[in-house]
Amino acid sequence: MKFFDGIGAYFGNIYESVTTISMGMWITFKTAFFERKVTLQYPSHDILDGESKDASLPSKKKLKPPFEPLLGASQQNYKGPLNAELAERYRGLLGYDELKCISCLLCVVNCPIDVIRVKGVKIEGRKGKAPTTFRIDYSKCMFCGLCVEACPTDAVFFTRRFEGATFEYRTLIREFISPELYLERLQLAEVAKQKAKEKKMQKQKSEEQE
Amino acid sequence: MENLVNDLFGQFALLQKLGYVPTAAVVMLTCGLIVLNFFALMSGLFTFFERKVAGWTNARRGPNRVGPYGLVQFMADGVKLILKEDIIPAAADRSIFKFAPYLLLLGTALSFVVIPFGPKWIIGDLNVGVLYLLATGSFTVVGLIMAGWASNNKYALLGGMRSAAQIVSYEIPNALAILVVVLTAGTMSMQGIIRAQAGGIHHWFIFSSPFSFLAFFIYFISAIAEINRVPFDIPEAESELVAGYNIEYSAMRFGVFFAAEFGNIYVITAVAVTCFLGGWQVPFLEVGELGPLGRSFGSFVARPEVLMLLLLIALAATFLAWKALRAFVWDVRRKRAFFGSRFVRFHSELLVLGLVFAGGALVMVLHLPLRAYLSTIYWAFFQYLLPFLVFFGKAMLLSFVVLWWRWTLPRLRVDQLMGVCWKYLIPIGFVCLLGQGFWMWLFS
Repeated sequence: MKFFDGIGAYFGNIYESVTTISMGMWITFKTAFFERKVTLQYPSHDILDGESKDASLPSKKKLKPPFEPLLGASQQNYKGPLNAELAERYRGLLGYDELKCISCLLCVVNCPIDVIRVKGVKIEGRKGKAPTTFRIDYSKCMFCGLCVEACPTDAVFFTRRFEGATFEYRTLIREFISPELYLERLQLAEVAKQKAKEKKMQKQKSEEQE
Repeated sequence: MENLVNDLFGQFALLQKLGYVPTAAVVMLTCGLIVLNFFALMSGLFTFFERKVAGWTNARRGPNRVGPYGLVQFMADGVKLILKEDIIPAAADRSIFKFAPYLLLLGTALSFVVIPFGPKWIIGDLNVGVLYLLATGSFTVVGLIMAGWASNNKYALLGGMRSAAQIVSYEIPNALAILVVVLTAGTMSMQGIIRAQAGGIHHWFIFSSPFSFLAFFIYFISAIAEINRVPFDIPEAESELVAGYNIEYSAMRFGVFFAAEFGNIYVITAVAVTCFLGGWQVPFLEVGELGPLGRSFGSFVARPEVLMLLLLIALAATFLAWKALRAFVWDVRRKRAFFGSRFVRFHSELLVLGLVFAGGALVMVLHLPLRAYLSTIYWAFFQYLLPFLVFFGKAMLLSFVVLWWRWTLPRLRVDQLMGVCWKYLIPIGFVCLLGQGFWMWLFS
């Protein structure tokens, strides 16, 4: 009896190995040829939909692989969910809204390594000072976020962009205010100064008349 | 025109005036160059194929950056390996350490000598071809043990010893399975074995009897074990031995180990195709000595199997044309330019195939005045190209299975490995051998 048990176990082993191996092979075969590929072909795809388009850094030229892969060619237009999957408080490159900025210099004061440089002028129709210079040196910035926390008007904030690499050192020093705006601001500041002068003169005159 | 060695001897008429020895030297050099280059190309392509299959089974894409479809990836890898620093451990046995990978390489490259590519394409058709293959396969053991010993590293030594135990054990079922084939074919020459399988799929040795069917699986399993691939790769089990026998190797010496390993995949699949899957025999077509164009082109086309083949090609062409048309409509609807179009981007291969079919059709139309010229082309096609493509395709399909196993199955334990060999493969191999003899006695 024991002998026949052994025989049964022997062929049972063969049967079991054949069936289990074929099951496993079917699973990998399915994955290989019928499942959607999960690869994000990062530089060739626009994985940062939306935000990368109004990027402050020069946008990279889109890379294309020399030939489309044979399998799953229809998935080439895939836009990755990477932007949505980033954490809510993700510390990407710094963003700056010059319309909100009042040039209070709180960010400059709070920055532990002095990477921010701000200048502002007083112009008409704007609370506080209007910025004429806002410069961040990304080569030194450590993205600690103290400037963002300090900013009273949320003019400095974190974007979700992370493609900050450039080929030249000097391009890492980012000017957020264009030269045209800078000149315009200076002119406006002159106007504001003259108006203020005139007001002062008028005040003095009226005081004298009185 | 039987094999390359004799062909070259015939070709070098001028050299022969110098005498036998220089001619032989030149012929040997030429054949060696061909073998080594083909070997290097195959092992390179297999590294690429392996990574691609690995990607697919993990729902990834695999390499696709270097060259079309990533095909030139292995060149980049090779250049990287050559440029890296080659470290030899201070306590290693330097000469043996240096020599071991090349012995492994030699064992693999020598096997390429007897692998046929077609009825007329083989480097040297030895009359002991299969025996020669078994013998050259044993170089591997020596190389692995030398590498393991010379590294002066515990893990390497353990890996080498394991591989010796494994390869020596698995050579027995391997030889038994091949013996079944030799018994059936009555010859050991590779071309002879293939010629014995002429006459349709049911004459291929895998389908000719239940015992040779079993023998195919025994051969395949034991061959995978012989080339140390997963699930039988305990010599380099990284969970136990870090990297096994090649742990101390770096740069191109390491690369040579891997070239040998990947070249071996082609060797074992080619032998499996030769011995069991009909070699270069084309299903439904006779590509023997005379070829299908023994008589004339017209009678050739009129044959039913050729008509069937043409019908299949026409069906495939229709399907491809339909796909290309769909893509073209997609482009026209979206007003895409030629090079930005889906037709060119996704279906450029269809474009090429379409051109080939169109060219074929043109040739068919023009064939009447060019009959003699054409029949030469067809003769060459059926004598050389088609058998080669068929052989290569079969080998590639089979090696896909090898890679597929690697990315599916977990590694065996040492005792399980030995158990599979001694308790299962060898007894079943003996049963196959006896059964095949009985079968042949019964049916002949």
